[in-house]
Amino acid sequence: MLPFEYFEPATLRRASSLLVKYGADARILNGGTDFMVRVRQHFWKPKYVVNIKKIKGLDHLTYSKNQGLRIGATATYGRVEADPVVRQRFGIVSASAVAVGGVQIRNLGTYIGNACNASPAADSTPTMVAMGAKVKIYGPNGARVIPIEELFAGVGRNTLQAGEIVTEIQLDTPPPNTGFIYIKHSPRSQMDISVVGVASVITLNPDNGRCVDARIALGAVGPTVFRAKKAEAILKGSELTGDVLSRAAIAAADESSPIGDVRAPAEYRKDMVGVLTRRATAYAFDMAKSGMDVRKQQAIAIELIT
Amino acid sequence: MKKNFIILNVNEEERELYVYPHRSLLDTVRDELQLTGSKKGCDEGDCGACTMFLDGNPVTSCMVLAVDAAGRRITTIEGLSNGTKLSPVQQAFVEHGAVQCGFCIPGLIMSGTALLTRNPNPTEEEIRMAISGNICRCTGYTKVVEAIQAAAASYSR
Amino acid sequence: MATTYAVVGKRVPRVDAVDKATGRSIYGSDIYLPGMLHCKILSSTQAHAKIKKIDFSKALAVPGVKSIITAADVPDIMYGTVGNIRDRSFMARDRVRFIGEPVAAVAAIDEDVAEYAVSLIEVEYEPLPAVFDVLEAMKEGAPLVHEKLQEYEGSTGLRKGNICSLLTATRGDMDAGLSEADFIVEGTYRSQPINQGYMEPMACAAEVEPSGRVTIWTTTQAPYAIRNTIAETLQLPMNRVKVIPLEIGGGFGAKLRVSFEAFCVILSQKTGRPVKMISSREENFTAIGPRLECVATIKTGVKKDGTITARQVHAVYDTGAYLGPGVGAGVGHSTGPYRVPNFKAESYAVYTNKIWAGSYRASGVADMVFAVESHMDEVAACIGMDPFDFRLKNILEEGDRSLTGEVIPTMGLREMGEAAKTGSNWNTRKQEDGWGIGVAFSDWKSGTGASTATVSLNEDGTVSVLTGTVDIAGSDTSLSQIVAETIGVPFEKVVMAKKDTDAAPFNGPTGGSRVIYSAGRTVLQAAQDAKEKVLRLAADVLEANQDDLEVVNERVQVKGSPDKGRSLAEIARLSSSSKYGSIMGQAALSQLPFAPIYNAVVVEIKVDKETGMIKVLNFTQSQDLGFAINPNSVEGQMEGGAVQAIGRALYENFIFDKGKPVNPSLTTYLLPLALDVPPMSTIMIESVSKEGAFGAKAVAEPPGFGAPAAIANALYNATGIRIRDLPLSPDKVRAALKAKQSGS
Repeated sequence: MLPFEYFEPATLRRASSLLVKYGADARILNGGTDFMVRVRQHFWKPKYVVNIKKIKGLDHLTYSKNQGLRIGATATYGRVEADPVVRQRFGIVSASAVAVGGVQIRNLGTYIGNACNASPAADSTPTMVAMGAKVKIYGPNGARVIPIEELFAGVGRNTLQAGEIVTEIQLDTPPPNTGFIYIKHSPRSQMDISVVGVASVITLNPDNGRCVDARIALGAVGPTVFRAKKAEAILKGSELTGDVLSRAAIAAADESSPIGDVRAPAEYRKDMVGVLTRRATAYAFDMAKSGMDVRKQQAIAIELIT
Repeated sequence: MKKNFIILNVNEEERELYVYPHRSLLDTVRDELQLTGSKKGCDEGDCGACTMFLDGNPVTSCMVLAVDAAGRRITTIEGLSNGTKLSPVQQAFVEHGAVQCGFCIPGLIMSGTALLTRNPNPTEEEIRMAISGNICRCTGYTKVVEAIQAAAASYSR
Repeated sequence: MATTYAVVGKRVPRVDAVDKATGRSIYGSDIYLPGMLHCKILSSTQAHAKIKKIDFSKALAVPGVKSIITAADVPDIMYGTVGNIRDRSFMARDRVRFIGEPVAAVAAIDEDVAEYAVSLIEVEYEPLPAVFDVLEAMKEGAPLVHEKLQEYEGSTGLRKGNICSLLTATRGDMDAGLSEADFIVEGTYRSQPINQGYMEPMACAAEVEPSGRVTIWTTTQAPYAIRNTIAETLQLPMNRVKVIPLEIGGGFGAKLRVSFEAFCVILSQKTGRPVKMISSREENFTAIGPRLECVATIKTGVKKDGTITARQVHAVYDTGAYLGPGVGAGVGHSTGPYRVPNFKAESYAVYTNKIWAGSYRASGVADMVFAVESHMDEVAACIGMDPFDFRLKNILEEGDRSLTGEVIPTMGLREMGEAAKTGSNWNTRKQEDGWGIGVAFSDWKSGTGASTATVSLNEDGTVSVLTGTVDIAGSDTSLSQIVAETIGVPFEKVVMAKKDTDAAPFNGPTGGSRVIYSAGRTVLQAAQDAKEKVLRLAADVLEANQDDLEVVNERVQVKGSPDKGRSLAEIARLSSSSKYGSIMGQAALSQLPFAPIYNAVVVEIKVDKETGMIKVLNFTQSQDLGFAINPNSVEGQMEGGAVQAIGRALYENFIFDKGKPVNPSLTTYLLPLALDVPPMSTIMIESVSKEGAFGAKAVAEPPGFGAPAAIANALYNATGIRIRDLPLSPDKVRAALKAKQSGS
């Protein structure tokens, strides 16, 4: 690893001013699981490192009916995964946390760090995008809130301005009659970067059983995690018959633009977007219909991962 | 290159050190404190051989800067046994033939201990999940899982 | 076994388990020497190039850098990865032949300074035409990896173009055998490059005393091979090179030969300080030889009743930039454990501009088992016979001749096969969609080679054993059990001495499944020799006939008169002033008779036809291993080998792009995790050998053989698709399923 100067600011303001001062030579250190690998490989060569973990009030994990779920910048996957309220009300969130790394990595890594590094294959991100998460950003000119997908500029690039720091993820409580699932597809059970990741969130009208809202987010099959909006449009307002699910799956595959690499050829990835979109949506549909309990949701999610 | 002064609390002992900010917790504990039970198998968080507890939670110590770990409670494999008395998980690994080359074993014992501390009655699936951040190339994991199952008895009592 | 034993056959805990479980064992990277320097290497970035110039002036100017070496600092003496040809040097001289080949090494006061200095070394290359695919490399006119191949010392059968080794064998009349057949089945099978995946990266340290004596601490399966290679190539007398083998964090063949020791020795010679090198995980992919691929074409003639009449095998091994081990297995394992009356086999090794081929759990053989056992199922399918019955119909029997001409002794091949069949769900198949079951047999022979041992009885009745054989899979425990049983002392009374190459005479490596058979027999004989000396002295002391004495509860006594006796401790104390001298047994062996071992694997899988994912549901394995000295260790070897083989079947694949390793890390090169492992049923068949200690034969290699073929066969059983190249990755399975659908 090449040497750098290290800071532990106590406030957001100080952290932000360090980032402004050192510009491209500075890097935020949060969970560190991407940071350590990329700095060691000389892929990132920061001269100044700003550790934001000592800033008070960034590690919150709160829930209220009005505000929904708030995940602070430095709250780790491990904390979110184990939190009883998250398990109870946001089963997909805790289940998709399990798709990230192993226990040791989850005790270090954070949702926000993962999102800011904008890997298209990040396992925690499709869930957040499909759930309609927003991120709150602190900056020299005040705070702003944007949908999480607006954070992604491209592979490994985010849209943050100089001195900006993402401070929390905001998730609304899903409406009743909503089912959600994240399917991670990779050859190995765990600790493996996704070949394809599909998150599907389906809300039904309890009166007629039709889909009132559908959100599908795809990972590892484009330069960023993105929503398959054509597929969503097919689902929205429809009765979710096998035919509709298949048409949505084909649409999602069309919307994807994967590359081929060591993990899988592009063609296979595209093919899997279709297969897994249909599966994920069918699962989410079943959950939305039956109001499946959280434990069972998690069991399915884990079964799908492994 | 400038070194930073830190105090590391390792296995309930406070150690004062000067370290480069870019040194990992793993390298620092091994090279500066000569606690070599934590192993470096990959240096990128994949193998789990370097697993330590940070404030009670298992982490890959190759993915943590020493300066970042200052002031936090660090436990290494050397901190699990009480003098010469093995911990229940260590004892079970010995008795169940779970140790082969042994390089991954400190990490696996740390992960097994962390699991049983939190969940004294894990299912086999939960055990396999809990050690999926640890790679073992020798054992095929069967006897490792058996050992953790056996150790669970002394936690759930 | 009718005999009951007190110590052997028991599940005693490993002697090293407590040290390992507490983190106290000392591995290669755990050596800290006063004043030591740290070494880092610079590797080639070119697959094939002339080295025009190396400029390390900037690196040498970095404060803390003590020495930098290149090929110019290494004596120009070639050595061979394996014994038959000397085609390589420690450091690239004038030209590099693969990406990752060491070009320079730095010694500095710490790892950071050394790493920084390496980044400042400038190498000017002149790229040369390169060849990467083994079949391309075989063609005439392919770029030559070694222009001076004809001049190298050693003998390899054939040298032509990039072909650097050829082994052939024939029996009977193959053409006549084929014409006798009702059907002829032919297939070509391709295996993939595999990294050994040992958890401990190579690490070593060296210190050169002012007198010139060299001490090397290293993680190794073969301390004497390291001593000899270092001594020969650095022109040192063997007795001035001491190798201290440290605890080995996994080897699987990779630690059978020198890694980075020479750089530490030369840098220590130059600086007068100890030098340590801990390699990175990446270097263990790019600079340490993996298993490379093999392309094998097999043609088999078979009668309608399932009798094999003839076989032809043409195997080509990619050996990378330098000739590696196992390349003759295209002959040696071309027939599997079956009767093949007529055959002709040829096994080629071909250079390419990739990393040199190294050893991994019987390199070459595992590739052939995939080819042969996939092929056996294709033959069975052709004649419409149950694959298990087809195998059992053709297996070798006692008294048959092995492929290499040895007479097959009493063995448990049939029993092993039957056990695997009844111990699995072979006879109770599920009718579920996507469910499949497959089988593979394999064979190996218990390894031999030189072993020595000394067993001494101490004055308190404890026993010390010295052998130069290093422990990688629990052998110190098993060897202690053999000695304890033989002399008649409790297991705890035996200790294996910490060894080094100065202390113990030459021993072969710990590899090729040789230790329990060969070193086991050696310590048995040494223990018997020690016991004989105990009895001889006791006979004098007790004024009894030696034949009337027995050892019971650590006492030598006259049979039938237990009160007439002396403790072993007393005998040991008396021995030092007796006319015979202290009690010390010795043995030295080289070759032992042929003792084949056999393995069968039965795998149940479930194929997700939409994603192409294969999930292994159950894994049953049986092996004829003679006698299990320590059943825990045996099961551990079998389970571990099986899981490695599952990884190789499903996703392990070391990929190169124009010679550049694409996935040289554990993030991208996938090793199986605990969740990937199916329930395992492990059956030990104890068909004892006459030669091994207490009937023991070998264990370690065959458990790693069968799974890829068994899973490929199960895939065929489940879906009707046959994949002949590894790994059986989801995209390949999906593509094959789609092709089948559109074809039918």
